[in-house]
Amino acid sequence: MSRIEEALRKAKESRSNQLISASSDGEVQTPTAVTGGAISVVKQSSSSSLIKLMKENVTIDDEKLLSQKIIRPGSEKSSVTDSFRYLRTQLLQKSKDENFIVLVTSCGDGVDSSFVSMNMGAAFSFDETKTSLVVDCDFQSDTLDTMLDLDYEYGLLDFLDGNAEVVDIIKDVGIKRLRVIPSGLNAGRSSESFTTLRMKMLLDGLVERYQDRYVVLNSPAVSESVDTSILIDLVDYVVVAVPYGKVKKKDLENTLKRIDKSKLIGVVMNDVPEWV
Amino acid sequence: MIQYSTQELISLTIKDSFRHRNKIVIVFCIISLLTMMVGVNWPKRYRAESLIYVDNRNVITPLMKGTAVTAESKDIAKNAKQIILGTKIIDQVLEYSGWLEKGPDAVERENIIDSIKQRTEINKVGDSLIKIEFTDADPNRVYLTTKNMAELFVDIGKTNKVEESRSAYEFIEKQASEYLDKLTSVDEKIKRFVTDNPDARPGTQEKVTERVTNLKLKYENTKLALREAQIRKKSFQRQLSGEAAMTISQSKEGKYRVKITEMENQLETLLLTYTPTYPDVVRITHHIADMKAILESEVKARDEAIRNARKEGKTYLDSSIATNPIYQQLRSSLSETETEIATLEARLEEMKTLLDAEFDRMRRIEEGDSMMQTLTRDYDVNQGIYQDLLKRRENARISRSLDSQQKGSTFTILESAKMPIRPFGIRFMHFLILGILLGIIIPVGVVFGLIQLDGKVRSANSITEELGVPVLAEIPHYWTDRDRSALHNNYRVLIVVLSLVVVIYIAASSLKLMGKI
Repeated sequence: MSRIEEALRKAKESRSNQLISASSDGEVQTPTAVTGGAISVVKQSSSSSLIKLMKENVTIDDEKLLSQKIIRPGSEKSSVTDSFRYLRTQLLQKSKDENFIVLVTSCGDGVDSSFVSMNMGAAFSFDETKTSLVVDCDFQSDTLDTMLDLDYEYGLLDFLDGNAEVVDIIKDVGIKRLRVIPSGLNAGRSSESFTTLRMKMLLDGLVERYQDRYVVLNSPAVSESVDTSILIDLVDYVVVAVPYGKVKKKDLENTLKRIDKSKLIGVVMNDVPEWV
Repeated sequence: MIQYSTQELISLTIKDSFRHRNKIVIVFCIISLLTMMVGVNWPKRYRAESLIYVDNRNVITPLMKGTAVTAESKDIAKNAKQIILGTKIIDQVLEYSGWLEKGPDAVERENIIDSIKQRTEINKVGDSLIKIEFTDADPNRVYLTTKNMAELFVDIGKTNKVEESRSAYEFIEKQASEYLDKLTSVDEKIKRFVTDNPDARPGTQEKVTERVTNLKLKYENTKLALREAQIRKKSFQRQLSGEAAMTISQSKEGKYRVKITEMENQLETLLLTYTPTYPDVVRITHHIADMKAILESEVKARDEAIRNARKEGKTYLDSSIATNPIYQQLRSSLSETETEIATLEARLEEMKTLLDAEFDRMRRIEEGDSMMQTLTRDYDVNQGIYQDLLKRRENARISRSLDSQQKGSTFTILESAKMPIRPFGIRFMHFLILGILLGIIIPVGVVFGLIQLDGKVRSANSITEELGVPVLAEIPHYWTDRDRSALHNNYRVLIVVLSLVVVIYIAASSLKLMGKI
């Protein structure tokens, strides 16, 4: 319990001390403090103005995005981008335009959902009135880190352990309106972390703080980790990423059975081969 | 196992073929090159064929057409096969076609014969052609074997044909001489019969019948005339009889009687008016008495005359009668008639005799006629057949001489065996094409099969339909620039590999064409 109390206390502290400056790690001084204060007080306020105020210190170019396999909102035709746009639209229709936490899990051994999670986040951030946050909850794989070429000090695990604050773990990866919380590089760690109140609070806080923030959780396959089952209880929606031709129908069936039907929105089939 | 629609299957096969392009290309190379190797080592087989024209009809059939019916001709192909593969021909074929070069022993020889039999096909083509086909690895031996088979078969056919036409001629000849004998004997019989029965000549019966009819007519006429004459004679006799004379002699008495009657009538009339004393009555009465007296004397005189005449045996003739010319005439007519009757009777007798003779003759002629008819019929029939046979004998003579000169043969080689230049059956080119086809079909087929059998999830439809979960999006593979260039490099490698296969194909074909492999 002391942990929860500690967390609550820390949260209070940070608010009162106007410590929440999402980009305090940046070099440029912006009126973040004001922004942070406003957010906590005015829940129903128009968020577009706030988003504009988000500090965008690093902006990576299209080429890098391409190499990182991340979609970009460019005008050029890309079937992958279109597919993610379509996916985003469907999720928004489901939530009736309210922000939500969606968990992306994969299906089967050795299958990673990072690509879908990351790009789903990117698709949300295409809209200038929306921000997105991708939380990497897969401690067993560093795919997302590698994909984004992230170099960080603290990750989600550090936060859950209480070694870091929220501000320490939210990373700007150079994409507008998109933030990432890396896993924390603690491979092989027990999954008990997610049962903590700290995790629930983190998620609630992340959603509630910004009305237009959409949170995407990247998690390992249900069959591979108990973490995912715990996380499902904490999220609004669950999407299962199924790579083309790699998962047996039976495995997918088993995975789907273990997911709460009310939260399961559907399946995303990725890596569909196309003649290029 | 996941159910897909055909369209889906095709689209998934295309997608998976892209995924497994490297494996597919490798399998393609292996299969096509292996097939090519099989093609290189495939044994060559050569085939030669010979066409033989068969005159299906035998000699006796056309010769005896319409006269005798021969048995149906048998299946010529079957017969030909039995003859060609029979010991007689096959032994010679072995000898002449180079099969015995290695000097096989009896068992080997049997095996060779069996294998030749297996590789020989003899079929009927159309109505009257036989095709002999032989297959072997050595073109020269194929040629010789086929050629010898055809030639030996035709030779045997010719020999048979000569034999056949000769026996046909002999048969007809024999028949003809038999009929000649028959004809001669019937002819003899007819001659003898005609000599024995002169009446039995053709036409005799008509004449006799005519004569009989004539005679009959005359006879009847004569008979009629005779009756007429007899009637006439009776009539004359009646007229000339005594009664007639009497009638004539009584004519005077009659006169008196008539007169008396008249006067008696007068008297009666007078008596009605007058008394018997009346002068006139008295006078008439006297007159009547006078007349009666005269009449009485007259009758007396005549009776006396008749009595006298009878005593003397003479016909009484009143003088008035005897001198009557009509009576004279009647007398002469009567005697004439009597003469005529005698003549007619004599003639009638004569005619009857004649008629009987004619009837007799007629009966004889009828008997002779039926005999003659039988004989003539036999003769006619035999003669007809004999004439026919003579004609046929001439035909048979001609076919015999034709056949002995081998000009009307039953079997003719229409197309003789040729030395086969190219092997038949599957050729190298076929193997190349087969290699390409199999190289594509097998790996793509495996991909196609795996899609249906490996139970992996590939299509949104199958998830939605079978698991009841919506598919939010199908996201294609994301190609980074590096990926793309790697893919292009991969393409290049595949193209090079495929080109290599093509080069090997071309090289192998050229070598094959040049006969080096």
